[in-house]
Amino acid sequence: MEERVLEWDYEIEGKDFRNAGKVSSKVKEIMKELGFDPDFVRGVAIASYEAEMNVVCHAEKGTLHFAILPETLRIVVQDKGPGIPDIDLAMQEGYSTAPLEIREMGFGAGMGLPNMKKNTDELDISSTVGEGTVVEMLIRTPPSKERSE
Amino acid sequence: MKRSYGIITIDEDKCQGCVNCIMSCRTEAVRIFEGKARIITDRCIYCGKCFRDCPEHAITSRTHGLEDLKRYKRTICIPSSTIYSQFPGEDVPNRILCALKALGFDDVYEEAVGAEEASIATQEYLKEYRGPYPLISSLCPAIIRLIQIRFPNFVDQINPIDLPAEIVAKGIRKQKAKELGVQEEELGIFFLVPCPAKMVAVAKTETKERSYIDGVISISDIYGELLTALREVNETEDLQKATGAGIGWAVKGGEIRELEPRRWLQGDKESIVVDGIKNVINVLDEIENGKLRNVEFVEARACPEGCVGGALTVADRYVSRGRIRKLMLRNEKESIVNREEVVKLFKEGYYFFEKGLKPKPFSSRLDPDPLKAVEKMKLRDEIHASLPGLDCGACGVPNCRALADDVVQGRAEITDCIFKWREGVKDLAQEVMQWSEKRPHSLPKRGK
Repeated sequence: MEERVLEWDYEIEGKDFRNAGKVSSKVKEIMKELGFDPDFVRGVAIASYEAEMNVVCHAEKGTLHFAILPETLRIVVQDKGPGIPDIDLAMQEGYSTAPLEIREMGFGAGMGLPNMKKNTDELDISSTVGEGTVVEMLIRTPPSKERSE
Repeated sequence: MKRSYGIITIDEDKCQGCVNCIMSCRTEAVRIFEGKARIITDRCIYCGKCFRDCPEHAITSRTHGLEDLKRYKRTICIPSSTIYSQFPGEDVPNRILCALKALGFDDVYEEAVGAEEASIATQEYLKEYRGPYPLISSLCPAIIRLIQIRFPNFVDQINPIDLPAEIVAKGIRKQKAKELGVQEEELGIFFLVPCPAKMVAVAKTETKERSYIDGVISISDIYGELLTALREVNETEDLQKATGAGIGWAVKGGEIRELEPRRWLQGDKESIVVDGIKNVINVLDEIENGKLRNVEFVEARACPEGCVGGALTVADRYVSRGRIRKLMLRNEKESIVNREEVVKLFKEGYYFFEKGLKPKPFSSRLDPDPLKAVEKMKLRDEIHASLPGLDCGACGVPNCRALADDVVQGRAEITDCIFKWREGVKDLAQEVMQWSEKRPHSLPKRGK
């Protein structure tokens, strides 16, 4: 495969629940258009949705960078926000710091980071309390992209 | 001239080449080409929305009519429950069934009874079903097709229980042929349908080798004759057997209503009833994105209000919905369907699709070759950015993004956009002006 990087950058607004999910929806559309396997697309969509929602729920604002590399997809979500004090704790299923009003909307069930881990091959989180968080996800693309006609 | 696209026909003498149909289509399946509407059948889900939105009534579909009854020694009619909503009166179902016999059918069997069986079969299926969630209703063939072409990864989540009309036809075919003293192939079973999607689901069935139904007639085609027959009908027989549970399938929520009360659906999960293709696309998108979760069952209907909103019906869909709701209340009685019998048949696999549905992705993928897809995507996005973004439809394509798509796929040209074409003319005019200023050096300067 020739050297070629396809990348897209999007902005995410904190607390903007009306547009929440738009960015990961775009990622999904791109992957569908490029003909990736539907099940693979779904996993990536869920991982990017969780990352996007974390920004919407917790941070002021953030960005999502999506790149298609020769054998992997890379999604980097970066935000300006409160940061995560204890990443190991945050990785536990059911652990959530989401305020009550966000939980009442059906978000903040403490499954965000675990869902990201489940749907990615590598998940790297770095965070500074009071400044923000960077989540980097790497997902290996399936060996064959051919699909039956 | 008439041009056919599968079961859909466009009367090109009536078609004015306006943009109503291309704008109305939710799957972007219609284009205007040389002044006439054309359908891209790989994208069409046969919902019939364009039939309603065409001001010239140039788009229709028809596979059979009453004249086809002659081809069989004996005939049976399976009327869709929707037909009960087409005429007023709470006692109308039995009159309609008697009138259908007066029109030439030897017997009638209600689709609604098949719906009652399908309800029980779905309840049984849900008992054992453990995901992936949500399970999606199989009652609307337009939605099944929408999933095949646009949400291929949900194909395996379609409830594999067959259409109620097929269940009825399968149940009576052998027994009726014997009873009427004819060979099975001499018996014609006709289904009266409210929409082109059901027409195509039977005529080109994908869930079995061959449909149990021989012909499909639309409610709108038979309406006039039925109205006449209703005026003169003698109600000598008691033909209406269906209860509110089956009749209710004609309106949105009718299917899920039978799954909710006895907790076939789990209390801690959500269930969704959604009507209208645009709304269905939104809901499925949100489920796919992970935004809508914990949903156990989705009853999705292409037509607003459900089958009473079908493109091949006559009465107003909102009035029709009210009529069906009244009939549901009036017919709350003991079903003729034997639950134990249905459960036994269900366990034998009787109600399932005989062939699995296959994904038919179309709308999203740019090219089978991933490298070419990447190139096309880049080009498409560049073209899209250069277009005016008015989504005016004057190019014959529903919006600027779709035109950019069509251009990279070789189905359209960039100059189909009148603004692009105008720019081209302007550039050319400027070039002509520049040329007219040039002159050979041998000539004196102008103005001297």
